Amino acid sequence: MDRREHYDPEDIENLLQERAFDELLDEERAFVLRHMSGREEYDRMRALLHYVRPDERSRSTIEPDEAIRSNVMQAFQAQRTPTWRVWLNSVAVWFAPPDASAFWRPALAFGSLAILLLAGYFTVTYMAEQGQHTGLAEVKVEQKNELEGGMLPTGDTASAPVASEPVPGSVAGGSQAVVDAHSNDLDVNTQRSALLSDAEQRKERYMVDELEVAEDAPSTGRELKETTNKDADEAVEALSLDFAPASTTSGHLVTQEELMRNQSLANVTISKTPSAGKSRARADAEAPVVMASSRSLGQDQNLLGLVTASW
Amino acid sequence: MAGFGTEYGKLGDERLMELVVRGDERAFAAIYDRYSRRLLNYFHRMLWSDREMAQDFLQDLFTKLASKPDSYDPSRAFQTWLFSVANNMCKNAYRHQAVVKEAAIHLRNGVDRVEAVGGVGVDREMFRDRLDQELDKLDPDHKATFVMRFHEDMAIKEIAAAFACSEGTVKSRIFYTLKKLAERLKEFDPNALKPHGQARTL
Repeated sequence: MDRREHYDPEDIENLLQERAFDELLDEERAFVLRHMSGREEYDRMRALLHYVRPDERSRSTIEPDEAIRSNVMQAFQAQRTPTWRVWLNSVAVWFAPPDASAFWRPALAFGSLAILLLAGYFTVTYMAEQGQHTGLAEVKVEQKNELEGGMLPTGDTASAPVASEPVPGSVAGGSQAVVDAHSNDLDVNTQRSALLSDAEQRKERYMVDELEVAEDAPSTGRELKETTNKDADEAVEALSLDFAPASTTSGHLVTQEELMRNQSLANVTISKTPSAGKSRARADAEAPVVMASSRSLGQDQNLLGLVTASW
Repeated sequence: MAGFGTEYGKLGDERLMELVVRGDERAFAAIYDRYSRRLLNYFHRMLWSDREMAQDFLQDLFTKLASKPDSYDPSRAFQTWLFSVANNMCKNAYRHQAVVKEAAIHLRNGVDRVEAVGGVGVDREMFRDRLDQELDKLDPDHKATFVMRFHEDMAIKEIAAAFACSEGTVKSRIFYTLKKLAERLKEFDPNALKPHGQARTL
């Protein structure tokens, strides 16, 4: 090791502690004399060092108060407080702030804002509900119009005699037939549903009576059961057969478009028939008939009333 | 947490601090019992032998440790870290109470003095008073280095760690402090004092 490093000035403490001035080597003495005035200073520092170290150790020590220990331990325990208790304390402070008077302005502002938001929300909700009701009412009106226009819930297209079997040259009569068919369909459907419900009730009543008869006489009850069930089934089948043709013939809904299309086809048929194979003079002679029939469709108040009623 | 039957007195400082960080109250009590007296006397020496101030500083230091035990850097030795914190507190006290310091130097007569008995005892107490006065005149770092080295009997390495400086700096501070004190206390003959019967004949 480099002796220059070994004899750094800060290491003079070791020399003072270990060796007297006379005990120093020549190199050590030269090093000491570079940092001190001479032997006298070296001896004075050495005496001080030897005196101070044990004197410092022998100084009377003071004892800490017990109150300090208790205070410090309480501080440590306070820091170790469970987090949930700290949270509860914060909640309590939040609900009952010590200086509540300072919060009335922001509380008023936030309360007003909340009320406005709630009012706006309920207003928007109410308006949306109103809009939905309006839409439903319109749909119901359309459905009602459709029902009034002849869209009765039956299922067979062959039930419209006017549409399926137009009578050329008698448009008014065809329209009257359509109206009659619709009224007949309504009446027949009403009667059929009433009779069917009556038959079902009779069947149920028979089944209830069957149970009572079975308790009294099992053998006769079984016979009565078969008889009554058979009768009820036959009655239901008979009713169904009775009304089956009616349902097949009058189950179609005649819409306004079909009615107008049929009417147009009838007019076209009437107007095209003369121009197909007859002479121009004969076609001119029959033209007033076509015009007359068209005028009668547009001017016949009864037909218009019936069409309107059918719609 | 330490297991049952753990003798906290045998655990190292760093291990105790690990337990303190986890909330072990007994570990904190062990730390306090281990260092409270040393720190109190260190504060007493550094704060112009003011016993009340030393007690207050001791309580403040351990209150800080209780409130923020995780502020301790486990990579450092706990003792040096603790004394560095104490030294910083003393520096703040020096900085904020410069006027009080001057007043204390002049009013320190009779503060925490042990009644001397006999001529040698009187000389010894006079020497201590003069030594304390001269130490108070020194730079706080030099004074703290001197106290740590000779009163707390700390190693050069530990002092360097407490001050976050090199060991050479600590040795240099000790050398120049001894040189100044020897110059200023040259009217006292350490050989004549013979405080502990260890003084050597120069």
